[in-house]
Amino acid sequence: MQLTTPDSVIHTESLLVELGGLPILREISIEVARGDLTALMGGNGSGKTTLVRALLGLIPHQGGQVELFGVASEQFHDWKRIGYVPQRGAVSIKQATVREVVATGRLASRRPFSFLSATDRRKISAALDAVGLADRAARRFTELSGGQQQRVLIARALAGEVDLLVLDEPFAGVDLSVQDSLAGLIGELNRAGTTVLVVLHETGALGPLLTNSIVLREGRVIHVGAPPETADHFHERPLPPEKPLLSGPIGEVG
Amino acid sequence: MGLLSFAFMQRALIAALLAGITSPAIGAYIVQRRLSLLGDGLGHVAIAGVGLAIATGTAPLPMAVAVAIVGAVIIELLRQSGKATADVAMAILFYGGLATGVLLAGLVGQGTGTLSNYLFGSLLTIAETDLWLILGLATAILAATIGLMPQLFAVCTDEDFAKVMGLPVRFYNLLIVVLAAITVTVSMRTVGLLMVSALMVVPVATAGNLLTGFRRSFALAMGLGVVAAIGGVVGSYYLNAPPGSLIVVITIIGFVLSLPLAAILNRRHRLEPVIEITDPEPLPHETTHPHTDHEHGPGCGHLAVVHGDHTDYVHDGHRHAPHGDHYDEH
Repeated sequence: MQLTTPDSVIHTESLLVELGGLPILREISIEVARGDLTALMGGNGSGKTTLVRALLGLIPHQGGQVELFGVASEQFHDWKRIGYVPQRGAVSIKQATVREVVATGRLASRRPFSFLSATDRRKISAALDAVGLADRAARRFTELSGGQQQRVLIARALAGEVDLLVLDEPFAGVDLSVQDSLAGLIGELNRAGTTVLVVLHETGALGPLLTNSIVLREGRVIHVGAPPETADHFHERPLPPEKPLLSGPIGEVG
Repeated sequence: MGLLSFAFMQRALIAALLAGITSPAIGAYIVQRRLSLLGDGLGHVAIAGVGLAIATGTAPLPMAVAVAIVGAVIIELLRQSGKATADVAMAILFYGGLATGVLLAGLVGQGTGTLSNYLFGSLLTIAETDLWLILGLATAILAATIGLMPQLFAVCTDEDFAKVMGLPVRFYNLLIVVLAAITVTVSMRTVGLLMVSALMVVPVATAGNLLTGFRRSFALAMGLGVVAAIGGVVGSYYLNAPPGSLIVVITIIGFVLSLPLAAILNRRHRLEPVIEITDPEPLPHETTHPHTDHEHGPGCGHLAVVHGDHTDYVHDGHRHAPHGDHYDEH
């Protein structure tokens, strides 16, 4: 059953995701179309990362439906079309060159017990070129700066036959000038035809490049459409004023 | 060489060669996944298999293989469950295995005498039938660790990414611990179950110090493993010591030697620490205290820090930036 237009890349219908019996995401119905550069936004604990993980099939959903490229996620097998860039802290790479890390991005189309083909090598080099790290290919991954590691993870995702790039907080822990250059890179990839879904805390440098945004709060979609002007508008409510830990007759609390 | 004329030494050397190749081969993945002590735990579990074989009068090697594989599957299922109690459950499994083995061997009056051949390795206990089984298992381990290198590497470094690429991550995870269990038993006669983990982990760490890249250090680790295993067996023949202890000592000597070597190798392309400038407002101009006796520059002895478009030198807790004929505080 196809509910969506041929241009649909991600489509969800009343998605429900529970973790440990608690509903974390409710009634999520979103749409990412081909060529979009969509930001998935929201404060801490709003369910951004959970939604991305559910879309990618990393965690099961308890209700509703997810479609990838017009195919229900249960029947979807064309994983080489999706490039996933997890948060940098989620990877544990101790001993590997940049090229070896990027090479793992070819595995969706490689068979076990096979050597790298000429196509594999070409794709790996092209991915390294795209992120501007061809000259670092033989370096240790762990020697690179945070921004460069983020680029390597993007290159790894690009090494497949990627139509959709999903990035989880690519700006976490990299400084402002590096954020600008990463945003430039993401914008370039999008202009070249890659659909992008990017989890962001604030629009930051990507703001002007976004074509769409989805804002979550407490596991529900509260805004779809034009990117929010100021990120603060969608932030969590201010915390209640802190109560002093000690009060009463014991002593004064400063 | 006189020692090659003994059939038992020929068998011991072949077993050492296989243990030396296979242990670092699976160890490379285990280290990458930060499970360096997994081999140690599996060794403890395998002791139960040896004890069981001694108690029932059957062949120890196949029994150890079977028990270690069962233990490996339980460990992986516990790990995948992600429960906080999994950690304690694993500890119970490991020490339960060790205690069961010692107890079973003791019950049939063998005590720890026979068992110690398996705990610390022995030159004399490798029968010809064992050797064939070891050869078969080692071949399987090498085929999987080399043939599936890209897949296993991907699963060890980033499970989520591997899953999104459609790899059967649970299967590969299980394969890694089962291969580790088999490796433990392959190396049991040579290194001993209590020390087998060292041969899986230490050559990998040594190779990682010396070479860049997973594949290259993987190959070097296997070479180092073979040198240590053969060296340990030959040495123990002359010293009349259990080979396991000598093998482990040799691997650790190799590791210690690799440290200064690594420092020299890495100096060539060591990066200077970087402090990015994020605030567009320039720093207020503040000159340092008079600074005439020393000129900062590359190799001047002070730590160099790349600060935006220039280099600062750390001096008594200050960062000094060259500015014309003087230095600024940064």
